Order: sequence, then structure tokens, then C-alpha cells
Amino acid sequence: MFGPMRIPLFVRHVLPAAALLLAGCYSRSDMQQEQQAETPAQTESEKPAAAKPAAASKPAANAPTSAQAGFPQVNVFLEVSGSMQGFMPATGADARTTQFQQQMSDWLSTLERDQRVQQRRYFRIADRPLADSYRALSETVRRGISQPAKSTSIPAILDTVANRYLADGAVSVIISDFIYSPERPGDVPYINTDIADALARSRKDLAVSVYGLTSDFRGTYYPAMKGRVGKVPNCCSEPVPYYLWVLGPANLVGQFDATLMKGLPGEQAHFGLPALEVPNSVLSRYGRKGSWFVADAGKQAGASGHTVAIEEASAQEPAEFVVGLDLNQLPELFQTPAYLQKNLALRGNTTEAKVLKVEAATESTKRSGGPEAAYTHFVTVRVTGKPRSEQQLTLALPAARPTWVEKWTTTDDSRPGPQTFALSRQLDGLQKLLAGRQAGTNAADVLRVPLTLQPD
Amino acid sequence: MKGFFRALYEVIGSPQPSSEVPVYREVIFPNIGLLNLGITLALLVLFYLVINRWMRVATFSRPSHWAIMLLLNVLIAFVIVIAQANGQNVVSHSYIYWLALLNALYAALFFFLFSLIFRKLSVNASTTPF
Repeated sequence: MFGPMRIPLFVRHVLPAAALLLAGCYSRSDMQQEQQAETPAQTESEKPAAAKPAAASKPAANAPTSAQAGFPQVNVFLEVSGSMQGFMPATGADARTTQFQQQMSDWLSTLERDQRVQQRRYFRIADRPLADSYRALSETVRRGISQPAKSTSIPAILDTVANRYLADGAVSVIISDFIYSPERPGDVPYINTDIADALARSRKDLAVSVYGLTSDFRGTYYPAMKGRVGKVPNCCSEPVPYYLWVLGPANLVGQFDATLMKGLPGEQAHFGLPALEVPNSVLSRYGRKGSWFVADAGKQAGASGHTVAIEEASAQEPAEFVVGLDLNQLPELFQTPAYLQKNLALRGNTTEAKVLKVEAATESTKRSGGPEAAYTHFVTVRVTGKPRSEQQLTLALPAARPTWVEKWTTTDDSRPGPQTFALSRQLDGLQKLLAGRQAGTNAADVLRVPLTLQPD
Repeated sequence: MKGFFRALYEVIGSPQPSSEVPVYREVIFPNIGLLNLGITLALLVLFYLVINRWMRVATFSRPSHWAIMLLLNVLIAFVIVIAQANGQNVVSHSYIYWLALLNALYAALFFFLFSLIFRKLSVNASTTPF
């Protein structure tokens, strides 16, 4: 009699209880649903950025940056004094051109065609900047300077450009040989001060990128030190340097470096760029060695984060983890694995963690389908001891003056060669002025990646 | 609760390979632990209450029948670990099978311990296993 009545009781109470028990567990499908719930919101926010034609040329992954990428105004200044004539000789019957002519007409044409630049203005620098058209300026580069201007001093040019042509959203590029000597030879040690003074009253967020290129030179060379030779006719057997200085608000100069200054041969140096927070993470499965795990990534297998929990590590059996970095927004110099390997440093209160190597992405990492596919560079960090407590570390790229500057500098240019008079003093002026500008702890860094090491 | 299951399953050492430690601690340990307890209780309810109290099946109350249920529980406990590990996409490693073995052992232990309570609720099987 009681039996049949109790079966429904069982069905009513015990089975739902068991079902509840099972449903309380986490499962993979839960996580996928969570992710799907997030994605529609993401795609919506990306749509407006992708719809802009200016942003269309960049991949969708960079949507947040490409929404701002775009240059309201770019000013190009070409120095046309007599000393520049050798770079732009009138093409003779043999149709030989200089590298300057090829490189600059290429670069000017790329700039003229670029969709991201809204407004372009071209100037010849005589005693003051004279407005020119793209056609006229590129004609000057190709056919030579028709009316050489009287030489203008570099600080005067910088002063004019920095104070009158750097409105909000404007980037200015000066193309010149940057041969500068003060009126009195005794003032040479003050070149750095002259440069700093010329830019001092410009905008607070000024950044300057210097690109050094070399070109063959056919004409009369005017050395900075006029005392000894005055001028060198029928110059030169060796290539001669010329420079592109990019001046502007720090964020725009950074973007300009990463886009329109890409692929130039030669050297570069950057001053006043703010420290960037590049996309980065510790990859839990890529290139790993030893026993550690990513502690702040949550519950998904193969996920990546910034906190590394070390289970075991010793000098004999070190733990090695890989930090993925996306350096696409940085100037080309800072994307060179060799440069990064030499300069990337791990700061923190530990001697047991060091940068072991830096590698660029390969085809196989790009196609892996794992989290490593999102990164352009991989930094391997070796840890030789288990930390006793939580440690905050910073993977940083210090903004050091590159070594090429010394090689390109000479104190006497009366015998022209691939060096510029007192270049290092000019760049010292920039360094002195701009390194202190980006106030804060990360003033002197190009990029910073915060990491945490902790014991398991 | 996560801490309890972590302590329960890390008696054989921390998960291998170490890259998958967070997944084991956050997902797999709680999952297999809860499933293990739930399935053990469900089988005990089935054996002591459904079969041997409400339905009064007279021919399924011997210790050998109890052992069949225990074996079934152990098998399920082993399989759910492998299913969970595959479901969470962890890197495959022999650790998965060690963990499955440990979970099977716990399943047998839980089944035995809870039997001591459940047998008192039963009519036909109140003296099983002893």
C-alpha cells in the first residue's frame, strides 16, 4: 500500500536533487556560452571603426588604435639651401640620380597617396618656409634646386617649425643635411643648448624622431667648419648623410613612425615618445620549460595572463616562460629582435629572473591558432629560483640613445664622409629637453610590461 | 569547497603538466569531486532505498549485489575524470590516468562509508555489506 505512493516521492525529491548536484558543476560548454555572450558586444563596438575608410587599411585586431590612427595634418619641409644641391643634382644625359632623389621622391609619393593623412602641406625652407605644392616639391627633388636659398641655421628652422607648424594634430617632417655650426667656432660645445632652446617653447607633448639616411652626393659640399677649407667642390666620393626629423605631438609621432616611416633604409633615434602599453601576456603553453603556471588567467586551459606562479626552479633546472608582445605600433628600430635582445631589461627586486632571448613571430606561430598567434615578438624569461614572496617585475625597453649616433658624428667635416658635424650634440639637446618631459616613473622607457612572480 | 577538493586530489602531487594547474584546480577538481559524491549518493539511494525499501525487490540485497554497485561506481568515477580532462582541453599527460585512478579509489571509499549510514534506512539490505 505504501510502496506505490513512495515512488513518486522519490521522483519528486531525490531525482531533482541529483540533477541539481550535477548541474552545479562547471563545464566547457558553460565557458563557451559565456564567450559567445561577450562577442556580439565586441563586434558591435568594432563596426564603426571598421566602417571608416581611414581605418579600413589596418587589420581589425588593431581596431582601438586604428580608430585614432590618421593624421589631420602633415607638413613637409625641404631645405633648399646651397648645401642640399649635391643631393639633388640636375639630371644629366646619363640619367643618373642620387639615392636621396630616389628615396625622397618615393617617400613623398607614399605620403601623398596615403589615405590616413587628411591634409598635406609642403614647404621649401629658404630664410622662411615657403608654401609649395606636392608637384613642385617633387619636381625640385627630381630636377634639382632652381634657386638655392641662403643657408639657414638649424636652430632657426627648428624654432620656426616647432612654434608655428605644430598645431594640434599636426606632424612636421624636416628634410635636411642638418649641418649646423654656430656663428663663432667657440660655441660648438653649446650646440645641444641651441637645439634645446629652439624647441623649448614648443608644445608640452613634443616628440622628435630622427631618421638618418645616406646618399651619394654630386656637387659642392659646404662643411660646418668653414675655417679650414670653406667649401669642397666636386664632392663626394663617399656617401653623405641626410636626415628626416619628425616633430609633433608624442602620440601622433609614435603612429607616424609606425606607419609612414616604415621601410626606410638607414638608422633611427626617438626622443620624447611616451612609454607604450603594448598588447602582451605570458603564454602558458608556448615555449615553456620547468614547472610553473599562469595564476591570473582563470579557468580556461591554455589561457594567458601576467602572473607566473613558480612551483619549482633552480639554477640547474630553471623555469622558462614566454611573454608574447605585439610591437606593431612601435617604430621599426624597436621591432628588431637583435635590438630588443640587447636592450630589453627585467626590472625588479630579484636577481633570479632574466631575459634569455627575444624572437620574432614566425609563420608557424602566426598559424598556430593558439594565443601566440596574436603576438609579433616572444620574450623568453628564465627564472633560476623559486620566489619566496610575490614579486612585481617590469619588462622594460629603456629609451637609450642608439649606438649609431657616435659613428655618424664627426668633429671635423672638412673631408666629407658618411658623418655629420656634431650630430651627437644635436641629439643630446633633444635628449636633454625631451627625456624629462614625459613626467612619471616611465619617463625613459619605450615600453613597459608589468609582470608578477609568485611562489605556488 | 575548491580548497577541499584541491587538498583531496593533490595528495598525489600537483597536476602535470604544470601549465594546466589552474584548469585542474579551478574546474576539474571541483567537477570530478562533486560528480563523484553525487553519483555515489545516487547509487546508494538506488540500492538501499529504491531497490531494497520502496520496491522491495527480494533478489538484489546480497553483499555480492552491493559489490556490483560498488564496481559500477568505481568505473563511473574513473571515466568521468577522463571525460572531464578531454572536455577542458588540457594537455594530455599520464597524470590524467593517475587522477582517474585516485578518483576511483575515493569512489570506493565514499561508497563504503556512506553504505554504513544508508543501510540503516533500508529494509531488505539493512545488513549489507555486513
